[in-house]
Amino acid sequence: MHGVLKVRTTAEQQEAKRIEREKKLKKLDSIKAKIFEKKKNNEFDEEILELTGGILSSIPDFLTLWNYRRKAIEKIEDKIELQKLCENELRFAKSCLQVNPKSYGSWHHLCFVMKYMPNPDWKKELDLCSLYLEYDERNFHCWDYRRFVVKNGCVSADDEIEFTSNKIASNFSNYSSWQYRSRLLPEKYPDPSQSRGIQSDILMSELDLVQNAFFTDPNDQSAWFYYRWLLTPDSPTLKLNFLQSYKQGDNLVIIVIFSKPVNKNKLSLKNNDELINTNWINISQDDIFIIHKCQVNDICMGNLSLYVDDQLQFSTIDVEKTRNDGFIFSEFTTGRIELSVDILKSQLENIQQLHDMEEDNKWVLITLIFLLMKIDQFNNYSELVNEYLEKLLRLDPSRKRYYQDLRSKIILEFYMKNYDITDVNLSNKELTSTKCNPISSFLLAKNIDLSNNKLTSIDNSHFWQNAEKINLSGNQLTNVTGIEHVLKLSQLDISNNNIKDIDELQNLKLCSNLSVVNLNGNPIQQVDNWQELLKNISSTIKFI
Amino acid sequence: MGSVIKDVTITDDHPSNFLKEKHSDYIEHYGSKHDVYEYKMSEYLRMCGLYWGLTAMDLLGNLNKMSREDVKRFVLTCQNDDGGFGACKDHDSHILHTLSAIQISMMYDLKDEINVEKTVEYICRLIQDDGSVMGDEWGEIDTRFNFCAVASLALLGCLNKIESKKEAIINYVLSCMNFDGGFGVRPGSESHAGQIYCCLGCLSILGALEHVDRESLGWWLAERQLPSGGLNGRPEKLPDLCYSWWVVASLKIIGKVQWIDKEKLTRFILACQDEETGGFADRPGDMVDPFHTLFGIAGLSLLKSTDNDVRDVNPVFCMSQDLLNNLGVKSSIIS
Ligand SMILES: [Zn+2]
Repeated sequence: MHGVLKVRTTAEQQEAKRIEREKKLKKLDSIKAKIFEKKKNNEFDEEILELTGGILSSIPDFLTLWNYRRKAIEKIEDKIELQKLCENELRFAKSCLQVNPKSYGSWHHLCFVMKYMPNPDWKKELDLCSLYLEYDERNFHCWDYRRFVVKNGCVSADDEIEFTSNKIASNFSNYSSWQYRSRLLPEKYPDPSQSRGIQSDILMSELDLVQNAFFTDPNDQSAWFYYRWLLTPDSPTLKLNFLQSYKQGDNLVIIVIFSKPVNKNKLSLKNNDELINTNWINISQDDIFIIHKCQVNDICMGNLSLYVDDQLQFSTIDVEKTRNDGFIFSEFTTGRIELSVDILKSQLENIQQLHDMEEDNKWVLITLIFLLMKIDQFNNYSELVNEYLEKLLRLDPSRKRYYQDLRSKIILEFYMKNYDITDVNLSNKELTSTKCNPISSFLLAKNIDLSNNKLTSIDNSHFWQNAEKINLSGNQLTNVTGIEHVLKLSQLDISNNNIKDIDELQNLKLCSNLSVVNLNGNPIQQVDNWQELLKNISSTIKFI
Repeated sequence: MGSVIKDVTITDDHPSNFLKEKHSDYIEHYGSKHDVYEYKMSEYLRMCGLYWGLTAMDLLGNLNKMSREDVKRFVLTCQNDDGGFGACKDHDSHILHTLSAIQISMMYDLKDEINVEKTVEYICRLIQDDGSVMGDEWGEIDTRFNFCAVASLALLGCLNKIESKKEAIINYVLSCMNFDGGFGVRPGSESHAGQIYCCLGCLSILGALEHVDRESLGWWLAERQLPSGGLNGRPEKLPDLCYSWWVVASLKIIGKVQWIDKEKLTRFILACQDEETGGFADRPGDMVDPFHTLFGIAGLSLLKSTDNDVRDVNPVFCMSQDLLNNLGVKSSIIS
């Protein structure tokens, strides 16, 4: 039940209503009985149309009754009679939509009848959609029916682009129209070599149009979401960004990172064209699918090749090197088509103008940050970006954590612009998350200092494959979930966190090289004989 | 010109405590007291309605108050010869009611009573070669039905039956992904929080969440929260309690639930309660119904905002987590 206000009524009114409803129910029951009787006898005739019509006009989502009407339609063989009947059906379904414009059953019936009737009038239906959309420009059922009509009635993409242009011209706040354009433009003006796969002159005029929209009404989300999409490059093509292999016991460990998510089932290793039996795992507990790991039995000679599906990704994992001091390949490319810096800069200028007029508009601020990061991620703007983020935290506290995570990401990526840093020091940065671009994820760091931040969980540890010393003291951790991915870990400082429960430390025993853990200043120290209990977790780890 | 945000106002007159017992009473007696008319008029969705009510009771820890025998009798009379389930006795089969019937069967351990083999055949018949799924034999296509089909088979432990169509289903769902990272009813349809939930649920069960743009989608979903704390399902729309489920479950599946203000949302959900009758409405002051009652309770469970008064709900299946653990049914969630 949607949008039905609860109203107080007198006892008298209630009684009157009760009597009226009782009557209605009685009538409903008697019609239903007749309908089901006819169904039993397979009598799908004109009478069934009349009977079901009596119910559907007030309960249009009674799907079974629509089915009976369709059975009745299917019984008609004479073309002229069928055409006439179908026209009636269209009229009837539309009258039901007047009662409930969101009735799935009525909309589907329209589709069915249009496809079934001998001479459907697509033009008429298109006009009808336009008319309906004047009353409610966001009814997604109607937009979907429109697309159905467009497809079957061979309406051109041009006409539809024009239709959405007109809709937008009369009201910029029209998410449905922007959404439709995101599908129509790449279809009508394709250019795979350009950002978003749209021809560049079209893309430019679209940027103008959407700017017009948010200059007119800077508080309307629709245009901002669409603008963001226009400025965001397509999803990346698959590239191997990083590969590390090293020896562990009798095995070779291989770690791979891709430019975009890959399902582990698609990965394979071959040695001289021969498939090697390996079990790939997504390393992360959060299934990020970018980073994978496997172990293979030590192979005496030759090179290994890595495949995704059947496509070669990397041909020479050098087993010899791997056996000595490990092997690393890295080549970070996003595999995306970006807009040119000139275009981004001119966009930035416009948005800054709007910012001068609308200082406290959050959409403007978010977009400024987005553009600044795109134009010059690692240099001049970090202070400005920070200022905007501070302001967003004040203006829009409900989404505080989103902005904090964004700020954390920016700090990490700025700091890790040289991804091969081996000593990471990021203490006192107010980090709420360590999730960021895989390139910046401390891949090669041996020492990681994240002390005195606001971390509530260890959320990116699957990338810390080379870390030996980690300092997480002075955060808000309640557990150490995730630490099990850091297999080379030997020293861990988690002092001054919020760890209360011994069980939350069980994962530590999965780090086989771990020798020292600092637990000072955690509530856990108030547990009776906590030191004894810790010994049960591991006898080789020294707890301070 | 500035756009006016469509929203509601919550005042101190609206309830702010969780009225657990009242909700339990409301569901237990639904259809037998004041709401006889409403109950009879909604027979076309009875099976779904039963699932809403029973799941609400299960999450409240009061499933024992409902009659297993009555439920069992009802569910069994709704299975048709084609293997699917209708909303009521004599109603045609539909995938929506088939999923609800299966969910109910799991709650009451009725798997051995229904004809599982035929049910599975019915569901598989509705899955098209291109990966889209029909609601029934009449051919309506909707991503809601992708979720229904996949969730039904997962609950029955029969996902292996669609191994050859898995790839097509995933690709079809992805073809419904939009510029904002969300999903719509069909390819080209506007993103809508309800459809997003269904698509994420489907991808989660099939282990294919890697394709989701979690940053864009998470941000878009977080922007569904309005100043009142309530959530809408699309930009520039009014808040509605049921989106506390569709949006928050979606955020939970992609690991971004911290991006909304849980306290404010909790306050909105609690304000949608009816102090007199029990139950939840779509917005404060509106009429309550079992649909919004379930999603109010399930939303509170996801937000973990009533301490231990509500049992844990699984964000993919919208059933109690304990039950799914017992059944060994899995779905992936990004943490
Ligand atoms: Zn609702």
